[in-house]
Amino acid sequence: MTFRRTLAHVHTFRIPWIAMALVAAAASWAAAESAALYLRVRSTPVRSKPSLKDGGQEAVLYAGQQVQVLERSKDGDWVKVRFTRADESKSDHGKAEAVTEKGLKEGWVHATLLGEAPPGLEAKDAAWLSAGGEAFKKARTDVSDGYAKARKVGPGVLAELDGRYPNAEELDKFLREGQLGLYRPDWPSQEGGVTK
Amino acid sequence: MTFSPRGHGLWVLGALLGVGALALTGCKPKESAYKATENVSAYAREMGDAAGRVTNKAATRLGLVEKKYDYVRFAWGPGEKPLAVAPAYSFEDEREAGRALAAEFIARLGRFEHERVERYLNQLAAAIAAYSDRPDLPATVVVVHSEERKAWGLPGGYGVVTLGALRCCESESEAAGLLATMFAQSSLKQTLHLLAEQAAAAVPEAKDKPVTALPPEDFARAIQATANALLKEAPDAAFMAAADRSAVDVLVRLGYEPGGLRAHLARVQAKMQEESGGKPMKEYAWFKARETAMDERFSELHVLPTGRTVSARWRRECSVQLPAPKL
Repeated sequence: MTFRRTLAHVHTFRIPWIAMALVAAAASWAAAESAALYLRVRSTPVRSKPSLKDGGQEAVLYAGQQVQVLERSKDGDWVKVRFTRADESKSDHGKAEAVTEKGLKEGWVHATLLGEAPPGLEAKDAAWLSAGGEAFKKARTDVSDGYAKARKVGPGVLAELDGRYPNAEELDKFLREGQLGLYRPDWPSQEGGVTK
Repeated sequence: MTFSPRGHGLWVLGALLGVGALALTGCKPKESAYKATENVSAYAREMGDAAGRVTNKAATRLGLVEKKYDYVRFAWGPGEKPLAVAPAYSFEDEREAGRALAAEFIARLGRFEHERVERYLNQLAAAIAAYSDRPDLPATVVVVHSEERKAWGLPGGYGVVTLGALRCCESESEAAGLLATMFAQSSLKQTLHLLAEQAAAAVPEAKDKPVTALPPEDFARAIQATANALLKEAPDAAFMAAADRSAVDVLVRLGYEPGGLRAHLARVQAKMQEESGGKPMKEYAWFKARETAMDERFSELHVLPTGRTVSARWRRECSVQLPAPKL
């Protein structure tokens, strides 16, 4: 009788708790699998394969952009991500962009460039991240321009300096030439290998 | 078979001795922070340009890049936090104040106009900004005619570097260290903090609103007071230490020789010592504080030298383009 009571007690109280714990564990596992990450550098190319050498460029991601992780490369150094912003996408090598039915884009990004928290961004509309110095032509600079004029700094000197800020493509070229950042030769791996 | 207490004690003692022997022989102790620091600075100083020619494979064989991946990951950890500035400045206000300060430096010292050098340095600064903790802050650099070996980070990503400071760099990693410290002064809002202080002292209304909201004559007073402070006084050692730590992080993230900034500072000190005729430098403590900050960061990251100084591009794009110093 006592055993039956005990069993009934377990059935009544423990099993829902165990079930809830199992559900919570499954939910956290699922969340970890499709975790949201953020780009923590100014920009990076999204590749069609987990490699800087093979495949083409699918799109460009910009600082703070949120992505959903779909899978990791075998060595864990590249992640396949899904993201929404498609306005800056472009494809070299003439390949079709990997756009899903829902209009989301997918591609491979080097894992080291993604962080769990968004970087500290302060600009409201940072058009210069992609366009470079060209974007500053639209910025309001009447206070500093007025001051420069009063200090006899030639008209256009400050605008010329602003224009030296490279666009995303020029920056990528600079990094690639110097083997810096994403292109450094000592990254854990520039080749993601066979995906799992 | 019986098991006597004495025998049992011997077993325990034996086990303890065994574990101790394993710990002593089997586990290689971590390289001490001191040794790691010495490696970085000595390697960067001694190898100089030759360091750029050491391939990664060779460096690995020499044991120079043993823990190369860990410290890259650590360098992406929580870094220095920007200072709180009162009154609050919007991003646009910060940019405008920095732009006006850049104009003030150009007016006082004169701009070194050289498209190739300017373009290259701005690309280098943009790379530093891109891998910093504020990747949306654009970096804009102007070179000025001065033989002082200085660089000033201004609000909003603007920066001023002297010809003298550029001449004291012998590789891109050293210049990257110099510009990374400069950019950190800007991104950590150190100069904006100074501007707010100077403005409040010069114009009482600046205590409540950003300088950009002041009438033009008050704005000018605030900008000039800040420029005076920047040009005449050495920056606060604690602020510089934070900027240097941040610069080390960016050098590591980009893959430059992490000791680049330390090597540049060593070169500046050597030149100053030479100019002072061997007398003790009054700036010794200031340099020492900066070196200590960098050494601490090296040991926190367990950083080891990479030997990636990127010297050839530096020579081609900048150092050979610079004019001879005016004597």
